Amino acid sequence: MATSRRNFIKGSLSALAGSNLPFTLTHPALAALSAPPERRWEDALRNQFEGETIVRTVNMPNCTGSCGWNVVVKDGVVTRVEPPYDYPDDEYNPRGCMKGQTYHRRVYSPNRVKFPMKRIGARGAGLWKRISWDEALDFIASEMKRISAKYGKETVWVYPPVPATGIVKQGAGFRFAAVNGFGIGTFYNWYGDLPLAHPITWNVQTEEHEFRDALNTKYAIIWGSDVLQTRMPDAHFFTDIRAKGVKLVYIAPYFDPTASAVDEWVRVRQGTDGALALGMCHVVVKRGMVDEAHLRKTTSGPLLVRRDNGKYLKASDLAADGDAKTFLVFDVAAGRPAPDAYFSDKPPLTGQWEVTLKDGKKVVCATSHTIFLEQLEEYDPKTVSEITGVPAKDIERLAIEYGSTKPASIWAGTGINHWYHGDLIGRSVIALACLTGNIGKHGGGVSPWAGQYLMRLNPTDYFFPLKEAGKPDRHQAVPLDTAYVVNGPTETMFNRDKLWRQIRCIWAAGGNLLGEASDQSNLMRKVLPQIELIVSPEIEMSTTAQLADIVLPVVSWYELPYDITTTPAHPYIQLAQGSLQPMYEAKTDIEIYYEVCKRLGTADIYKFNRPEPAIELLLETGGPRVKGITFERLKKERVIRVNLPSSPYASFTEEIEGKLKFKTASGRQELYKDEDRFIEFGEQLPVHKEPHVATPYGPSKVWKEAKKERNPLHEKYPLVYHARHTRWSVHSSWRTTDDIVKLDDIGQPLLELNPKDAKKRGIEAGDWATAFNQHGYVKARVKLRESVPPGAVVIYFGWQRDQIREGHWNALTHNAINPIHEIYFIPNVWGPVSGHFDQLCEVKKA
Amino acid sequence: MSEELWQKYYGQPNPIYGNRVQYGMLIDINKCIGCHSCTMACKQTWTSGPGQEDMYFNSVSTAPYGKYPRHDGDPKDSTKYNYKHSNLYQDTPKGEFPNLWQFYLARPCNHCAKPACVPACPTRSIYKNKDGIVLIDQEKCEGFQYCVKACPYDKIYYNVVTKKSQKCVFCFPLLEKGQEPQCVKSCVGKIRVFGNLMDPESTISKLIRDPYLGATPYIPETGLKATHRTISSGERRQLRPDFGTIPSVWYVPPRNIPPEEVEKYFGFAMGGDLDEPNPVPADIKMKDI
Repeated sequence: MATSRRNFIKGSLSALAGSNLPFTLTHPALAALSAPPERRWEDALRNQFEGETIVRTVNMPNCTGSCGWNVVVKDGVVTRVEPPYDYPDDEYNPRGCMKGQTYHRRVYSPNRVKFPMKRIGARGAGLWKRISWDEALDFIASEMKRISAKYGKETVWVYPPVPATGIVKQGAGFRFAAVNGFGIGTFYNWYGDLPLAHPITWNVQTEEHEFRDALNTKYAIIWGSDVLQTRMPDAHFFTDIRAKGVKLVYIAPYFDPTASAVDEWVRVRQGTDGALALGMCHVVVKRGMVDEAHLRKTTSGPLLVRRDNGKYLKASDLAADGDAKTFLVFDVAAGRPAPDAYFSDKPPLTGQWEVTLKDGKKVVCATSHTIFLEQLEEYDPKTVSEITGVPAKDIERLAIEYGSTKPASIWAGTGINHWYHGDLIGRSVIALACLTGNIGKHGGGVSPWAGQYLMRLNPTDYFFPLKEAGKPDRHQAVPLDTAYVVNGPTETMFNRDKLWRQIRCIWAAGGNLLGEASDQSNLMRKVLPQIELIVSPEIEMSTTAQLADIVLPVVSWYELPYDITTTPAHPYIQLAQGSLQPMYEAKTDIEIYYEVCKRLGTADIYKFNRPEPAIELLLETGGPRVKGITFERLKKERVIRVNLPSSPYASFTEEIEGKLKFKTASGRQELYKDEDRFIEFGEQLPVHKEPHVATPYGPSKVWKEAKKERNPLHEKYPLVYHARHTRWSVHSSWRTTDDIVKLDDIGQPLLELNPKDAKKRGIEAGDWATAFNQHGYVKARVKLRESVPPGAVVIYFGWQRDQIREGHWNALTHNAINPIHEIYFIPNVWGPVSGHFDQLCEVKKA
Repeated sequence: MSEELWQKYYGQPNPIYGNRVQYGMLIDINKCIGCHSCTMACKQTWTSGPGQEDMYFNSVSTAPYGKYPRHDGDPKDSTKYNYKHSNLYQDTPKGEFPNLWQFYLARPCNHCAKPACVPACPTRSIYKNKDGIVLIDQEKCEGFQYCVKACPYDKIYYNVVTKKSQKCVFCFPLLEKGQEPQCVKSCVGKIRVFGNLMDPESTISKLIRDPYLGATPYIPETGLKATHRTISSGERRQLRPDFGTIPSVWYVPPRNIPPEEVEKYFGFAMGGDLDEPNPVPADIKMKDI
């Protein structure tokens, strides 16, 4: 636009009048005056925001974020999302990262599943036939009937979704399996997210403080959790407290993004974190920093243990009519064992005495704390330094800092849990927190937040409907742990005769099973040929969809009518509401299940084909946590804090004040375990065992023996192999999203190596290379960076099969099952925890 | 930043352009989690149109080796740009394991008090508005791209479809609605504070003048919540002040890097040299990309 002279003069006059510029500033004044009075182009930018409507919803991937978004719709198209700034506790505003910001690009992705499809070529060949919904549903139902008749109903197996990520749509899968008597898998333990140390010590699934509680801490250790990459909406709690002067320590083998944002990065050898924790326990004990009251009142410390067999001494050991469930402590005044009373401050914490059993036999009994102290003698800083590579003086200093600052917190992620001995590492860390009295305190605790397992309401009536009103019988799915589906059964499997069966049909509701599962080699070679029907309800063509027999189009979160969602990271229940009509031929999960049930003759039990009545049922029968929260209220408020005993929520506050007992057999925090298998493996108390695979020393041995041996596998495959979470994906979601892939280095899988290791192998940055071991291989380009220590390979995972040149990043992993994990089987609470970090490999130039 | 320096820069109207408001930003690098939410919020709002595929008004790179856009060949030749792989060398630290450092450098346009782009424009399409925001009039721009070459921060992009140069607008339409810019609003690490640098009473000018005002809660000026944005204490600096354009984006430099490196990025150590403070060493340079 050319400014006419007339306009120019008018403009300069008005500018003069308005700006009060001194006339002496001739040059600058002229520059200001020469600007045209109006900038029409600016209006184009302003108009861009006209005619927008906003819908407040939640994105629900399994990242534990559960972040609210204002979805901006213009002309029927989602153009962008913005944080709504409506969390009642302002510390949680804003939530949501770049993945949530680009979800609409997945909604409109060219990769979207648009209509039901049936495979017409070989599995994975990519040849599909478009079919109608009726054809698809009829086919699925008839195949399920055929498979049920031939092999049994429980061989139809639903891979369960992580329920808190949309309790209605994800729970619909549980309900589907239950009303039809199908099999159901596990998710939380099988992913490796379940910290088994929690059920072992506290008999709870998992307990964690809400993130806001980090603001109360005076000293924070982030232990094996790359929060900067994997807990984006909440990572600021840590950087915030650091800005306020709280010391932040990060313990990890790699120089991760988190390592660059803390006060101290403690570099530990992979898989030896348990030894470090026990070394710190050792120092805490030697320096007299133990919180004895905490141990005496709330832990298994004062309980008597028989020296002859390692079992807890019970009342039934002493008298024929004694109760086998009564634990004993020593009554010093009376000179004999007495029944334990929770929270009593009387029993001695240490000591051992001779006790006469009911058969007259005399055995020596010691308090479990006495035995723990004996074991801790082996973990002096010098030895621990040998094991972990952390200098002895640093171990000493860390222990003193942690032990002398109250409250001090540990944020323990899956980095220390994805190990064969992840339970031992977790128990060692918990023992450290117990010794220093940091459990049950605001600003203290041990919190993992891995996986969005926590529903914050009781979903039983929705998941497993009653057979008849008023009677306790429920429709139940038949559980089979996903680990066994992929690996096959083990000798030590819990209740193998009853639970093990070869499954024949997979309904992959819980996401990208075939793309994300560890042990891909076994899965592809041995398991898939046994499966006669794979159904993949999906929004995008994931690896599982690509390998399925039937692919069904599911609505995205922006097309859902309603759903509700919760997370362990924050204490809110939120309402998700769609802003678009279902696109293409997509249907909601609940409607698809209902339609299949209709064809299987179970629709009247399944009952729901819309989410609204399911939400009402869930909230009505959800128990005290959601008392007073109704669907109507959620529609109005969108985000409501659930009823919790404290704010910010901290675990075990009531137990630690003596108001409640712990849920364990003894009612105490059980640092000492006496189940036969714990005794068999010498794991009654937390000990350090070398990794099962990824060690140069004797695998799975205690240090005294391990250090004398060399792991033959390590000589062949000298690099520790970790396929890890990246900031750019939630597992395999967003891995194909254009705007996201563009920002991830060169947008393809990269084998990341230390330059020294690469040089030894003649590999340069950008070369193609193969990482391989006894299980399988993956081929990718090489990125060199010093963040990866010598002797390790990192690959950021989540790529779909069509994005990988050859092999698979999980073809190198094998999920060896630890018999300790099989002592009980409670789906997602006690079961095989994936130890896929426990792996070795070698790399060669491709 | 000392009181005197604040007086010099922001104590009176801009001596060249006369603006009495200078919007600016304070970014606490110590708190940056490298999530690129700012980049993405900006991209979804402003640069998802044709010709803007590789355009990031706000970008985040892992310093020292990440750079966007990169200069191919002779790094001193500022006329050659490579916009591909805007986040190359992410999380690639400098040093030898385990003595390493890196930091995330988030960069919007600096909306400089003395911009290099404005005088470079042969069609006088670039102007500084009354709020101190530097804008390119898309109706007047004829795409000569002198501004692209003039900006020492490489923050102006040429759109090959519309044949105009484009840059960050500090979300001025949103400011007019009483909102903060998208990169600030969506910053999930809560590292950014936005406001008028020339207002002695604004949160940002207070935070910039007093480096020990760190842990003070952020007083929202724009009606938004997030009252608890915490900024680390420590000196406030501009990125490459040696270019002499008086950037309006201020930083709290990272504490975890060697002090001489802080000087290279946030001091005068580079002496206005366009060369990169830390070029990518040969052994970690990716071939054939």
